[in-house]
Amino acid sequence: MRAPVRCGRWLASALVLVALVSCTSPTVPRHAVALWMYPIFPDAGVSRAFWADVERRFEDAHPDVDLRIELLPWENNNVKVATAFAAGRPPDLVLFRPEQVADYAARGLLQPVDDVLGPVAGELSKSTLDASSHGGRAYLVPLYQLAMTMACNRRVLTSAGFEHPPSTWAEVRVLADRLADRGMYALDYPAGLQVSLNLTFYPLLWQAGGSVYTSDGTRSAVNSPEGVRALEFLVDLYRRGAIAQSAVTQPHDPARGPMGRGQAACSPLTTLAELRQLKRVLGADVVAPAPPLADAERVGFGYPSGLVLTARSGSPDDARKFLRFMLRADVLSELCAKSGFLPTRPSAACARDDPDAQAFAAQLDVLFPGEPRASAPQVAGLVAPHVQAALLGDESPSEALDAAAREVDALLERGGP
Amino acid sequence: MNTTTDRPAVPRRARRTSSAYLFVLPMLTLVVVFRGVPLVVSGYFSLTDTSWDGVGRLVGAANYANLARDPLFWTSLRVTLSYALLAVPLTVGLGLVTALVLHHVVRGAVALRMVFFLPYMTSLVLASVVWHWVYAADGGLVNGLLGRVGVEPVPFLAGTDLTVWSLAAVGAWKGFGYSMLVLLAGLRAIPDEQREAAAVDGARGWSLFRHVTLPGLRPVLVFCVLVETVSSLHVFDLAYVMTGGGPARSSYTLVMNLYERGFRYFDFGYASAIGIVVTVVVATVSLAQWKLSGEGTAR
Repeated sequence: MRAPVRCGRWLASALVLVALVSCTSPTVPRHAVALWMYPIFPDAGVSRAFWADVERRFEDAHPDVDLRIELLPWENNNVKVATAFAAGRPPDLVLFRPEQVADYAARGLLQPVDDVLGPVAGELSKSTLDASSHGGRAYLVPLYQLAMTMACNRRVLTSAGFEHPPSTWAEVRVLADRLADRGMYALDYPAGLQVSLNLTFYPLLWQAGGSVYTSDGTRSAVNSPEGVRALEFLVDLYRRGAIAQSAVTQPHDPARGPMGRGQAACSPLTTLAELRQLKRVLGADVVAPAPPLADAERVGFGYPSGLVLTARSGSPDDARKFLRFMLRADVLSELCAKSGFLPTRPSAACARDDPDAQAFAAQLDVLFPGEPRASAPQVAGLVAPHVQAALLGDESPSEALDAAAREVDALLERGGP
Repeated sequence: MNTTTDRPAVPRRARRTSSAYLFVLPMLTLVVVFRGVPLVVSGYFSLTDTSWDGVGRLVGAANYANLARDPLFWTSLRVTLSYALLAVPLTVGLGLVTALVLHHVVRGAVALRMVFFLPYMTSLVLASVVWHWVYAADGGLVNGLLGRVGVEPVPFLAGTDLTVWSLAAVGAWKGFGYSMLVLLAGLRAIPDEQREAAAVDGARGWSLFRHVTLPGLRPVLVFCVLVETVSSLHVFDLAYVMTGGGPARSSYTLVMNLYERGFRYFDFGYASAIGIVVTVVVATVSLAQWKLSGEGTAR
């Protein structure tokens, strides 16, 4: 009598299982695409929400792709990325800067993305395209633009008789003279070794008409007459007290440095978020955005950042679908609105009614992406201590740059890196 | 009869020995896996030109030859040794003074011990950020106070002359709590009878310290000096956060050089050669201290 009951239970269970299976949607084979993303939003909560939304929208449009976005901290970013490549297990997509593109592409670790960039290439500026390419092929899908401009303190400027921010080296010298006996600095210049020369000395070098490398890239050109003039300008300001004495160990943090304390007239800025933070600290009416300085020419440092497709990607076609999705004007526009970084596509411009964003956008024409060669980080590591030595008076500007050039030439002759 | 009574003694000793090895085994495994193996692998890498793609070919002693010609290596070695020469006596000296004070304090000794040990527990990065402000040439705490009495700002970190001194002072402030605790334990291990006998013989103050306390503390002092020396020769994060190795490489240490070569420029072969040199320097200095102190001689 008990056996039929047991059979009935089995039958009922089997029916439930069949019913459950038939209720689920037909299974679609999904290809995983891994993306390593880093904090580019001022707020971690906004960052998580933005990328979760991107993931959802992309997967809705491409149900066969399993997009896995990993949000990683900036700490040791270089080390972790390099280790992943060295171990042969990089993600499919990762956020890169142009100098990384040059280095990794030269080693065959990235896949060209000309086909992705092609449809929008006409809209991108030449400097953005150059910074995204290596050896004539595009490797970077540029999403946002880092733009180094300036911000000035109107109160300090007014006290020195300046109605507008200084726009040339000559005006900075005049400003320095007028602020000298007030205990104020003309420039907030973060010269610590932790700070990239792209934010400090190199813009002055380019403004003077100089360059880091010779045109063929085989030797250093920092000790050119233009380079010496740039360093002399800087050393002169430092000796006259127009730059804080502690600048030589100062990190780049405008809101917490002399600028944020109301002791400096002008400071370099890298993002719209930094400008907004300064306004919160000093007052919205006090802080004025300003273009990069000019000497022989007006140049500021700025480069596009974006995604690269790694050579070992297991789903390159699906990864390309995601790159195309990220390049859409509506996605870039949202990224701009929430991160404060300018978009690389003018058609994706955001915050058209925000004067600060427009002030940043107005500088795009004078931005220079630097000289993104594989050796750039190591070259900067050799030049920076000599710039500091000149500031401290241990070496004259020409001695410092000659010594730096000798070290750089020796590095380039060795063929490294 | 002897045979029957001696027989169980051998297995017992053997059991004791094997038990001892068993207790040591976990730590030995950790040391071999996390110290020994990386050291051997690093030794191999130092003979190659391995870069970040993990590909390298054997280049013999080329990395070591390049090191010998590299002025940056000698700068970082000089800075590291200077730092160690300043930081070790400062740390152990401060630890000894505070241990002696605490040994004689009757009331509030526990609270004082906690206060003195607090810097050791503090995050080094946090402490570095605070000390960076304390040392700042413009608006820093020390220079602010000096300014009130008419003294010109001192470039603690903003010049090349005082940087290593300033870092060594922070290192000593951060590390003396550990030496203090070890030395305090050492002081308490010295039998009171020795001091009482010396006092009966007329020893007081410095004489008592010189002839009774110091000899009694010698093994503990040697231990503290060795630990601090090893730690000082590895100094990295303090300089990295406070000065970034500057200004003008005046605080550019060996490990910072290794880090930059390995993880900024991805020259793993060269970085491994620096790592091997650091190991040899640490081992040589430690061994020399051990021998000179007399602790390493056979007893």
